[in-house]
This record gives sequence, C-alpha cells and structure tokens, in this order.
Amino acid sequence: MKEFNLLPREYQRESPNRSRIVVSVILCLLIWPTGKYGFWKPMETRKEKMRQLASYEEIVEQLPGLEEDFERKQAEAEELRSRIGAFQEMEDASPQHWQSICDTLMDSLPAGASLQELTCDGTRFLISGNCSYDTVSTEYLRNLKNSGVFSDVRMEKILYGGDKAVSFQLCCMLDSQEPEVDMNESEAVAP
Amino acid sequence: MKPFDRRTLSIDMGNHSYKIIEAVKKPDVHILRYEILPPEESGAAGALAGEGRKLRYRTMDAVMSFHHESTVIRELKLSEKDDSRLPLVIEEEMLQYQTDFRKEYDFDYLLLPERDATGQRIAQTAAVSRSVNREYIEKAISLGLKLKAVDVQIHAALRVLHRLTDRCGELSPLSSYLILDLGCHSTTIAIVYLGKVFGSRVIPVGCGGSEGAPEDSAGCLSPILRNCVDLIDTFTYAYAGIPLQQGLVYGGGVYTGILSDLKRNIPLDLTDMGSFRSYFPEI
Repeated sequence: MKEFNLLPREYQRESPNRSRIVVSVILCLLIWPTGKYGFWKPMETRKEKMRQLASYEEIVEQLPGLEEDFERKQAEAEELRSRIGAFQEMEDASPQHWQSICDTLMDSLPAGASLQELTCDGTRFLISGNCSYDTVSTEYLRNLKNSGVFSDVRMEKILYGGDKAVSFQLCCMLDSQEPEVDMNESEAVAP
Repeated sequence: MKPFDRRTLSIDMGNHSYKIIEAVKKPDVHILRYEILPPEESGAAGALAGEGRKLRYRTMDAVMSFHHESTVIRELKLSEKDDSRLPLVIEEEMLQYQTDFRKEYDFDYLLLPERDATGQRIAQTAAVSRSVNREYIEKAISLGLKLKAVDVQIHAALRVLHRLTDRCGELSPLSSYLILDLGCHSTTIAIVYLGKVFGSRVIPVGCGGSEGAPEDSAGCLSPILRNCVDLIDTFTYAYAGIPLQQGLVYGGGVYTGILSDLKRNIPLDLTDMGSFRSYFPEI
C-alpha cells in the first residue's frame, strides 16, 4: 500500500528499485554472454574434443589388429597369386593352349597369303610366308596385332619378287597372360 | 546493509530524543530493533552515525518522521470524474490551504479506493509547513542520513495499531481509537478508524520529557484535555454509531504523571502503548 511521503521532490533520489532493475538487467546482459562464451561453449567444445579423442583412441587400439589382418591377407593373396601362376604354367604347356595360338595365326592370315615357316622359341614367334601383294602382308601384321594374343608384332623382312609377289618375315611375342589378381576377389576366394 | 536487503531504518527525530526503528517491510512489516538515544546524545551526529554503523546501515533508505503543529491531515472529497485531473484538483485544494493558513506546505495525498455515498472519490491529504519540513530534512542530511521518505507520524502509529489489532484480541479492529502522542514539546491527538485518520491535531504543548518532572503539569494538561474532548465531540457528532471507547497513549509524556490525570478526565479507556509490548516481541 502506498504511504505518505512528505519528502520534497528535489530531495528524492532515483527510485532504488528502478536502479536495481537497471543493474540487474545489465548484470544479466553481462552474465549471459560471459556464461555462454566463457563457460558453456568451452565446456561443450571440451566435451566434444574429449569424445573425439576417445573415439580416436579406440581406433588406435584397433590398429595392431588391422596390421596383422593386412599382413595375413597379403600372404593369402600371394599364395593365391602363386597358385594362379602354377595353373597358368600348366595351361601354357597344354596342347589346347598351343592349338588356340595356331588357330589365331591361321585365322589372322588374309586371303592371298600363305605361311611357309613358323619358328617358336617359347614366347617369340618368327613367321615366314608368301603373298601376292605387300599390302596383304601388312594386313596380316595388323590382324596379329589386333588379335590380342601377340605383342611387339613387327615386319622383319619383306622381299619383292616378280609379278608383285612378296615373301615376308614377321616377328612377334606371345603375350604372357599374367592374370590380374584382384584383392577383393582374392579375399572372397580366401577361406 | 547489503544492496538487496529489505531492511528499513526509521528515525523519529523528537524534540526530546531520537527513536531509531529497524524494520523489514517485505513480505510484511516486521520490527527488528527499537532504540532510544538519550537526550544528551540525541543531538550528536556521532551517536546516530555510530548506531547506523552498529546496525550495518549505509544510512541509505532512511525514513524520517516527526510531528509538528503545522501538520494538517484532511480528507478531500473530489467530484472530479476524470481521474487524470485529480492531482491537479488536489493541488488546487492544497494551494487553498496555503492561502487560508498563510503558510507554504509540503504535501502528499493518497487516493482511497473506496468512494463516499454520493460516489465521490476520497483523497487523504497530509501537509506540513515547508520551512519546518526542510529544517528537519536538512538536519537529517547533516547527520549523514540519505532520506528515502518523510513519513506522517500519526500514520506510522496507525500502522502499528493495525498490527496490534491483528495480534491482540483486546483491541477490536472495528472500533475507533483516540491516539495520543505525548511528546516533549508538542502533543499529537488523533482519532483513527479502520486504518484512516479522522481528524488530527498537533498542539504546541509538551509534557517535558520522561524524567518525571513535567515543565508545568497543570499547564499542559488543560490544553491537551481540551483538545481531546473537543476532537472526541466532533468525531462522535460526525460519526455517530462508530464505537469510540479506547485510547492509546505513547511518547515520553506517558512516563510523567499526566497519564493518570488524562485517564481521570477523558471518558475513554486510555492505555499506555507500552502495555502491549508483549505483542511486539521484536521491540
């Protein structure tokens, strides 16, 4: 309830309540950013960093296991590669293998060309033949290149006779079909 | 005092002594301490400042009250319908007082929530001589007090009475009471009813202090008695039907022989406020 106050206006001070409210508001305004950026935010950041650190530590703890696993997988892949190599060697020595190479040599031969001599020392082929035109010999050379079975196909010698007939000598390498070992595949194959 | 402390220090700067009252206002008025500075110390700034320090006050929020013969308490009935114009109307009335009494006043008013039978607004006004008021204020400032308010002493007494009627079954809150403040150099007489003051007078006659040696007992009794009887008659005439059977007396004059003389001559049950001390354990 309001009471009498005979204190003249000129003696009255600003209402302490009002000044207290102003002070409180200013304090709140100061406390809020101080609390947020000086305490709450750093605490949150610290917590976040601690969480990250814990997760990293967890990963680091798993690393020796990963290395062992990687080495084991590498050894398995190596073993698989050697097995495939052995299989490949077995396949290379088989009659079916040479049959397919001969088929390729014959299938690549264009019309108007014939083979005279074929020498093979394992991987290197020396092919001699005759044809009616020199263009036919070059066509044979292209066909061999495109067959995908040979590499480094080149013309060693070409001899022109009468009536445009030529003798040619081609040299090529049998592509060593080293199988590409896919690690994922090898992992899938591994027990 | 701490910045958000709700304690209030009231100082009654009487002619005879200074009374210091420490109280809390919220949640309800609660008196914590009451002290009277003896006459030889009351004028000394050092004593008052010392008391303040003892109570851990920073002399802020001091409320001063005094009574003086120039005090005028009146009830105004305002026919003005526009509430925003009421302050202006009251100010005009107070200016009229100044013209009538040929004195400049400091005044304040309270607009009462209730209206009279004709629907008029009621304002209770209190005024005191400007020169006297400022003399006391300057005195308080010179003592190092920072004043928050200057209270009307009879209203302060009314608040005490209100607390007393709440606690004491002997005092009915529905009765009216004669209030008698027997000061050293002046006496305040008032009749109060339901928290309102119905007429109040301050007469420049005192009882001479608490030494038990009145300046002139017969000389002061007569005007006090005359004014009391006059006020009682006026009240009884104006407010017939409202019981007026009790009176409460306080102030230094209580400790002189005048109270028994007053009891013999005033047809009311006059009681020394000090006899209700047990209801104010904090005092």
